[in-house]
Amino acid sequence: MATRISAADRAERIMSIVPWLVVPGGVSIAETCERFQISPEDLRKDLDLLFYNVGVHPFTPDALVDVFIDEEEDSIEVNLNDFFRRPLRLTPDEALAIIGSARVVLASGQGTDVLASAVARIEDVLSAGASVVGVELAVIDPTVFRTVRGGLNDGKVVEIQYHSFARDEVSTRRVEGQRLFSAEGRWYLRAWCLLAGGHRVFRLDRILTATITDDPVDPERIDTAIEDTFEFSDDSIPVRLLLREDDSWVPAQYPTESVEELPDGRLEVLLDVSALPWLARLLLRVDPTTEVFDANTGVSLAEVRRAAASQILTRYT
Amino acid sequence: MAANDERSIRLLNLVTALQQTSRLLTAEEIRDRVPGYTATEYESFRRTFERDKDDLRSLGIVIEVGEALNGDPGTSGYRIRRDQHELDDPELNEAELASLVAATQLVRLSGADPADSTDGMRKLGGFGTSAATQGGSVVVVDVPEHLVAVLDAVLEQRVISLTYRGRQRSVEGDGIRFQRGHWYLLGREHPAADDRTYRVDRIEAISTGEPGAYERRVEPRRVQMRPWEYGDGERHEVTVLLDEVAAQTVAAEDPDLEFTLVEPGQGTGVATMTLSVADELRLFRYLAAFLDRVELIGPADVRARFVGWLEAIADGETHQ
Repeated sequence: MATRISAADRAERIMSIVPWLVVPGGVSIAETCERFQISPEDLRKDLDLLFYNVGVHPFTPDALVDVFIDEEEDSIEVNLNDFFRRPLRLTPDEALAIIGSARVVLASGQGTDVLASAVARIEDVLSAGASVVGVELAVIDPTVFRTVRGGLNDGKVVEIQYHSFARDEVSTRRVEGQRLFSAEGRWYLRAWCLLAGGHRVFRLDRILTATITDDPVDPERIDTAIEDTFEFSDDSIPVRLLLREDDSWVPAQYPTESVEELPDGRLEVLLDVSALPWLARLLLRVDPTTEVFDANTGVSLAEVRRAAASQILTRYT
Repeated sequence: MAANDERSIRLLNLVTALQQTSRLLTAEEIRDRVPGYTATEYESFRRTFERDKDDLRSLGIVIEVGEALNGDPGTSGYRIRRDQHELDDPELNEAELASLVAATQLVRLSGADPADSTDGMRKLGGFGTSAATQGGSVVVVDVPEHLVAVLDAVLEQRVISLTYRGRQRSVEGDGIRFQRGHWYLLGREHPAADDRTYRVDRIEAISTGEPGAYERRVEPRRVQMRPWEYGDGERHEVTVLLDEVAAQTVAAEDPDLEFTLVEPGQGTGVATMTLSVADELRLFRYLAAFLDRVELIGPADVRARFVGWLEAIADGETHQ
């Protein structure tokens, strides 16, 4: 199937691929299609378009692009007459896609020396060797990463010690890993949790220890339609906060249901809170006069803040 | 021949005509030299020519415009300089190309066009699709609206004018950096030359100046996420004891902070860290978020102020 693209994108594709085809003795059609991810039909049409149509005034044969395709011999020969001898520069979108992806993979610990040298060479020509795209993913214990990935690949149950940030509890759980992914700069494991009896998403930087067990995972539970999204538990608490202007970082940082500016300049924010310790820590980080209510009952939750401060004070008496 | 094919041919011939000339060509001359234009009336030629120039610019081809020597005084002339749009070959071998392809397949840049990596890899020399990514773990990275424009400006050393939190600023960019789930622009505010960091997804509007306007600095820094270090207060060192969970959290988020391990059995922590503090309130808020997993050890006066701050909250006092 020929791909439908705009005339400009077509011209770009031709100017990108054709310089690589100018090789004495010609190149293989099949290998070219594989190398540049183009269908034989599209390649053929691109070359037909060049042949005897593109060149310079007065368009005598010596001033035209010359293309010879031999399908039986699986060979293309191109004589460019000095036009399009080099591919176009990378556009900024393309530079971001390639350098950005490479930097992300290197930061994730899945990169190789070959990849590192490839990026360095591109940066040599693009930014005089300066590394202008930096990437940092949350640092995780490489042993945890290897164990979790080992369990995933071998189909074994993994036992983890996990710090639930929302509840501020450390628990030991047996999990059947299904997918390891990174989003928003952090690594996550999506797994069937035998303790919770349901699918859960775990942050790898909150796994304190991980041990692989001999128990195989239950193939029945492998969820085929896995999306890299987050699920929030149903028992979340809807909370209404009246934030001072200085604390506008809260709605910028956390998912909210709604944000409204009040006449006195404060922000009225509705958000779902997964557990009270999470709310307590949020309240300790904003102005202490911030009013907070259970959005369903209208009852003040200021006691959560007082209790958290008292809990911390037990260490100082 | 299909109309779209004719347009592609016209664009390619326009490139060769503008490339294979040593002087600036007038629109009339271009019309005579590029077959796709010849048969059209002058007015419709001008419209088509303008659109074609825009198309070539969108592909990254720089069209030089100046006064043509061949026309009446003031007549515009056009030319393409190869050194301004041809790729300097990074001379990647097949293994390097394949590793880049594999990287683009492991990373999902949400918000960007997936065709960007295929298009870019073709220019660099291709190398197919990768089987090496099987079993690899996908990394999802959001691409905010202005990131490409910011990167373009940094590469070309164009001063960036941006609206940030409602204020207008001029920035000389040194680099972009993805840290803690967000893209940042690192640079210097122009003309004050102070180091500044901007979260790219909070940039409200952007425009850029002429290329080569400043000298990019070679090694852009990390984005510092230590709110207690900002402020005009005099800096002093504060020591904090952390339990295992808190130590792991801090290490994951700020790998540059140094820890001192505590001998087992010496209290309720596994490690201490020493912070350089200019803003005590911000430090207090940061520490309180760990609840009782951390303890401010000293100096004694800071510890006493922290306790006082906590007591006021525990008593429900509100101080405006």
